[in-house]
Amino acid sequence: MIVSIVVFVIYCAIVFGIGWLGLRATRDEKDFWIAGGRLGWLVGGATLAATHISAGTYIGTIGVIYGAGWSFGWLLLSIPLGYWFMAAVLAPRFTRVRKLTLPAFMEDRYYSSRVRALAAVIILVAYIVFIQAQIVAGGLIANVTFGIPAIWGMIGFTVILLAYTSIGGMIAVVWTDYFQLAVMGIGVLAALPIAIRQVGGFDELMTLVQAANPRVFTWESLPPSLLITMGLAFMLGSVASPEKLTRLYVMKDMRTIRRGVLLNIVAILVINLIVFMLALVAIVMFPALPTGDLAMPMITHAVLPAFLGAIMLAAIAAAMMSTVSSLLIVAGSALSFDIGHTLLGPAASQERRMWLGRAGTAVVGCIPVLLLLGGVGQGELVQFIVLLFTGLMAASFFVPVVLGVYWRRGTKEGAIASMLGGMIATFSWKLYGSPALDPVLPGFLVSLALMIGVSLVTRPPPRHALEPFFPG
Amino acid sequence: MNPGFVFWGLFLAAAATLLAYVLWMWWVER
Repeated sequence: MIVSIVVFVIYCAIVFGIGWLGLRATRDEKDFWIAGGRLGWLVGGATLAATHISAGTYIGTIGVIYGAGWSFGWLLLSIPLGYWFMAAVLAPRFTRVRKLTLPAFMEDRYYSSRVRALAAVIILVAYIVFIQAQIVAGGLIANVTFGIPAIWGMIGFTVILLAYTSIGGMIAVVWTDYFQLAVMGIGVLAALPIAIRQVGGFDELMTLVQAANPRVFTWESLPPSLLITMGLAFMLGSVASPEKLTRLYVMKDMRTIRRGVLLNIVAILVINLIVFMLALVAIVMFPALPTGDLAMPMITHAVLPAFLGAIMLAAIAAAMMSTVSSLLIVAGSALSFDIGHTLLGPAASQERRMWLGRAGTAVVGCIPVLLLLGGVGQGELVQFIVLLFTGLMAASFFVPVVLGVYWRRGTKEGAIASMLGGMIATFSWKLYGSPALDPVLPGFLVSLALMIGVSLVTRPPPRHALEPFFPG
Repeated sequence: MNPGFVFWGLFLAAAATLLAYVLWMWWVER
């Protein structure tokens, strides 16, 4: 307990220190929202990976493998394919015009401030739900580790996150991501050999897992249609989530982006594969957990020695915090930069713009915890909230963004219909559709059909909107 | 299906994907 507290305090002190340095290094709005847009591949790739890997991995994925078996792990392959598409197909055209936020890109390409406002509202709503899921996971960790009520853990994490994110802006976010990715890597790399030794070695682990649950290494627990469409959700969502797309503006050029994406893919593959192995250890050692989401906290608590358990705890917190900080800064930009900028007028100083950004980020950060205090939004397994969020982002943004830079005929009406239709279809399928199919597929198809159909029957885009994106 | 394939296949497939990406990167920048 004491060791956990000491490690956690040191971890937080480093994060705060980086936040403070971020504050000092932030000189204008460009620094605050995209860290100046001049990062190299090491920090750029690390921030992409740290943003991708969330409590969804350290609490959720392990929980699903614990319950449903190894076949879920095959979804992992869809993630590098998504990022490859991002680096090879999308990024070269998307970064021709460098903006500060995704809604600002949408406004330029679709020549309409309404498109920008709609994109910003979708981001705000979806991010609040997603941040909530992550904060709930944080509360769970605090409860298991420190024995404090989960709600206090949630409030505590929110305060820490807001402290460095809203003060230090994107510079603090990317550098804390870098540090946090290192903590996540150290956590799982150190935990794996010890956890395997606890069950008597690798061969013993394999025998015991199959004895405990003969279906672990089969394709029987999840329907193939669900596996494939969940993979599609991860693939499209990795490309189209605004917090990932913003990372393309953060890195300085295409060469950097290709290398950054490579680092990102390596980190995601390695960390996930180790987490999957830890799920097997949990199946053997704790065969009767009430929910799979408890598998990682139990390993941290009961399998690892105190010091390593504390590092692992910091790793789980880092996974959660590095994702939430990125979501906060992007949701804050949607509120302050994309919606609130009209409050300031064009003549406002950089200083005032940054303070509006800080205020917006703080407001967005308080909403999830206030909703939780009101009893809204607790319940589902973390991984499934992550999947719904990823599906929503994929169904709302993939088509307007990718076709936006590849199809001249895409119009603002098409983009609005595509975003709204994709989102509504995803939600409706989640509520009323067959659970054997991930909602992303209907959402994506509706989004694509509306984009093409509505664009073709409306007036083509004006030349001035297309020129920056289709030069020559 | 053979449990070994379900388990080890994922590691192999992940390594192959990574290798393919690196080769693509080399091809683009050569």
